[in-house]
Amino acid sequence: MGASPNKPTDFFVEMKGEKSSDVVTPQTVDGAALLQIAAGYVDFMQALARGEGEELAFTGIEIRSGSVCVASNPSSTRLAREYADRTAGYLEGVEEPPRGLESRTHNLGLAVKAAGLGKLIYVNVAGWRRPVRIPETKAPEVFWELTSFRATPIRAGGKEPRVRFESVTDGEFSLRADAEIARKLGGLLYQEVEVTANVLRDADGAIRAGRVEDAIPLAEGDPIAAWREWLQQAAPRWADVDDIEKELGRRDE
Amino acid sequence: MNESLPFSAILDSSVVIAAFGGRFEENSRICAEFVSKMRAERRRLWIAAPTLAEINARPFPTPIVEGIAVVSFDRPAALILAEKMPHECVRQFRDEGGAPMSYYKFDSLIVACGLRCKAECLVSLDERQRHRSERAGLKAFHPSELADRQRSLPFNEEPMLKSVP
Repeated sequence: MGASPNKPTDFFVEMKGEKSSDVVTPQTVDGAALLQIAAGYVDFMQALARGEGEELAFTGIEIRSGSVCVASNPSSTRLAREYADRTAGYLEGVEEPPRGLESRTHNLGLAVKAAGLGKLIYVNVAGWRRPVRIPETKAPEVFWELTSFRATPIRAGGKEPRVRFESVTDGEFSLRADAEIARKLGGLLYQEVEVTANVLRDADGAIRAGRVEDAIPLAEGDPIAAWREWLQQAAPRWADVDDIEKELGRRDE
Repeated sequence: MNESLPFSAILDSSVVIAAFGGRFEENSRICAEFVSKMRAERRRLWIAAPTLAEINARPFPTPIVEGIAVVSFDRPAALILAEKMPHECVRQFRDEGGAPMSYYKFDSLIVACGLRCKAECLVSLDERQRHRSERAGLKAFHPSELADRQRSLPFNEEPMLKSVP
C-alpha cells in the first residue's frame, strides 16, 4: 500500500553509503536488511509508546530513492520524533532501555549491524534527523555534565517519568525526572522554564540522556526591573563607578 | 517589527552594568534603551555566566524571568572556546591590548557563551572586545548601532520566542 501522494510521509528510515563510492540505490539496496531495520524500529517505537500508555500507529509504506528510505505515516509526529530519538539512544547504549525492551534493543541492534560496513542509517521525522549508530564497544569516554538552561517542556509522563523539552540552545531532547518534578513540569507544558539537569552529550554536543534535577518557572513581572533590582543587591559597588570599562580593567588610563 | 534589532543578543559585562546599574550617564541611557527596545520587540537577551563573576556579584540568585536568561559556560561552550579562542589567541589579545590576562579570559568566555547560545551578536561598549568577537565569528555591535531604528542590518531570520504568551 503506498502513502497518499497528497500527504508526505513524516517518518522514514534511511540507508546511505558512507562514502561516495558506496552509493545505495533502490536497485542495489539490501532490501531485506533495510526492511528489517525499518520494521524493527517501528516496532520498538510502538512498544515504547505502549509502555507509556500512548498509542502510536503507522500507516502506509513508501520506498524512496535518493539514498534509500522506507517511509510511513505516524499517527503523531510529535510522539514519533520523541520515540525515534529515544530508540536511537537505547541502541547507542547511552541509556538502558525500559524493562521488557532489552531483547528488542538487541535484535534491532543486530539488524542495524547487519546493514554492513560502509552503510549509514538515519531515522527522520518531519525534518528532524538522527544517525542510528551501534557502537562496537561502549564508549569509553562518557561525560556527564551538570548544567542549567532555558527550555520548554512539551511532554511529561510515563511509568518511568520523562520530560521532553525543546530549547533554543539544545533543540529537542528527553530527560528522566522524578515523579514530583515530572508532575510539576506537566503543569508547565509549553512554558519556558529554567532547568538544572545532569546531561550526557554526544560528540556533536547534542543531549542524548540525562536527568532533571530542578525546574523553576519564570517569574512574573518586568524582567528589566528584576535585573536592575538584582544588580543593586548583588553588586552595589557599580552604582558608584563612573567609568565601567576602566573598573573592569579594560582601560589603564 | 523593528528591523534594526537582532532576534537575540548576548550582553557584554559593561552593557549589563550600564543597562541595569541605574546611573544616568550617556552609556547607561543607550544601553538601557537598547535593552528596553529588545524586550519591547520580544527579542531574547543572554547574559553569560562568566559576566556574573566578572562583575563580582554577591551570591544573590539571578532573576529567572522571561526573555533575559543566563547562559552557562558548559562543556559545549568550553569546546567552542578551545576551537575559536585557544590560549595562544587569548595571549595574543593580551599582548596587543596590554590589559591584565584575566580581563581577556573573561572576554573570551563571554564570546564563547554567545556562540554557544547561538546569539546573533554580542553587544559591547568596548571596541576591542567587539573586534575580538568578530574575529571569533560572532557579530558585534555598540548598543547605539542597534538602538537606531533608521538603520537596517542584515540579520538572519530566527523564530520568535516560543514562550512568549
